[in-house]
Amino acid sequence: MNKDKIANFINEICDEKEYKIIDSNSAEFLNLNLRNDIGFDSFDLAHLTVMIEDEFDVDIFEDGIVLTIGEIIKKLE
Amino acid sequence: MVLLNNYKKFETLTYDELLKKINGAEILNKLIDEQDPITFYIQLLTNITYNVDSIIKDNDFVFDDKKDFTQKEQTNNLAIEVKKVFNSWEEFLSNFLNSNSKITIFTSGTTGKPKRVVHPVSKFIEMSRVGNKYEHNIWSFLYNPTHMAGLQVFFQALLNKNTLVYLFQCTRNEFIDACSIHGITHVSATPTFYRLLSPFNFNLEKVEKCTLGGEKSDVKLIQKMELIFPNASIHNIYASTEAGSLFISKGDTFRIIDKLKDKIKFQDNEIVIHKSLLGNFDTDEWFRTGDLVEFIDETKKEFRIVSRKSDTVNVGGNRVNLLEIENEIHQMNGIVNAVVYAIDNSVLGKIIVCEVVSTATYTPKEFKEVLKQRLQLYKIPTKVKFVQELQTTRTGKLKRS
Repeated sequence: MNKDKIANFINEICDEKEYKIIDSNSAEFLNLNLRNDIGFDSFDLAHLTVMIEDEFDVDIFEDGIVLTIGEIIKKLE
Repeated sequence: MVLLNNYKKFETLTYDELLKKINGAEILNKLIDEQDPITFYIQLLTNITYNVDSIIKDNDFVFDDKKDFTQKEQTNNLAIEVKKVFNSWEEFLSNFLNSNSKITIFTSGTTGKPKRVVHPVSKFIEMSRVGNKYEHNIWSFLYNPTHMAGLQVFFQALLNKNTLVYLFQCTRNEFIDACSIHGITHVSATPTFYRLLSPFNFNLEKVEKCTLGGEKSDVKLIQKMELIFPNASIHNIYASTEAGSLFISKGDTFRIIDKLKDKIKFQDNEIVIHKSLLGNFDTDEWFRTGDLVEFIDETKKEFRIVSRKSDTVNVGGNRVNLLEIENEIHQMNGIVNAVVYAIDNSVLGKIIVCEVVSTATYTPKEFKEVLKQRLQLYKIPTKVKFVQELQTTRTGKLKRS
């Protein structure tokens, strides 16, 4: 469930910024690096934190850098 | 002449009836609570004519009476029995004009704790324009009565015995109706109030003068105001709780009048005011207002207000002026009103959020696309919320939170 929500948030930003849409069913999904693989800049990461905080009330970057989608989902568990 | 009109629930008084109420006042309270406007003004005017200082408590703020008011102020609260009777309005006015009492009001505290500022009553009298040419003015009252702008409008009307129609916190339709019913000629309000008059599909031909104060306005708003007030001269006023009214603009350009030239200066484009122009509060000789300008003609000291210092935030190392963004949003098609503010963010320090009232339909993506043509990328709001209406403070300014 969380996985799909996170994928939707990321794809919302990808759509807005015209990055390649990601597939939450792909084998590498959890290992995708937000910056290197998806292409997020710091503004996109900031946007993502706001979306996740609004939904889950968790600031994923509060304790430091989160690199991959898998790390985000782990923080929400 | 009507002093306060019973628009909502307050009684209507003529100036003679007001005088009777002042004559019938039994005690003087130094601390004045904002209650209904009539009780408030009777208390204030009674104090003034008895040379008693007034401290106006503002119900917008949570006061801790033990800390915010001294022991002396509290024990002096129930003060003097009133025995004087004014036999005529002229007698009252003469007493009023010669009063040496002071009025303490509070700044809004948007940049910290509310600060108390003490003004002599003579300051309000100086700021008022009195004479035959003002005697037929009919004022709408649209400010918080306990704040500087509200007091100024009240004293301006009182000294000319003008009709004053109390419309503070009225709706758009109540305002339009009141202007038609009472033939209002003078309107003074915040830019937010005028924006909330949208849709601008009516006109109020009897209005002769409109002023905007308390917030930055923009050219597009003035153009809309010209449609609904076709016969009015429209001016921005630069005023503050600390100083009262200082400048009036032509369009959006302010000019310092000669008699103030030695008392106003600019440091790093910030307006700095000499303390001789200010009410009494804890300040250095020169008071930094926090209001930033851009010069149209520096030699003539003509300038435009750009923003407040507090309107500038750091987003990921970039300085961003929130009002610049707000201004650009207002230029977009279908935008009725917008507010831009910053919230804390663990990645960038701050991010920009905007709330928008729009008659046009935008997705957040479309909205940002339009703004990208006008602003650098780091100024584009991260979060865009489309809302039915924006929240305002009791002062009538937009709430930025």
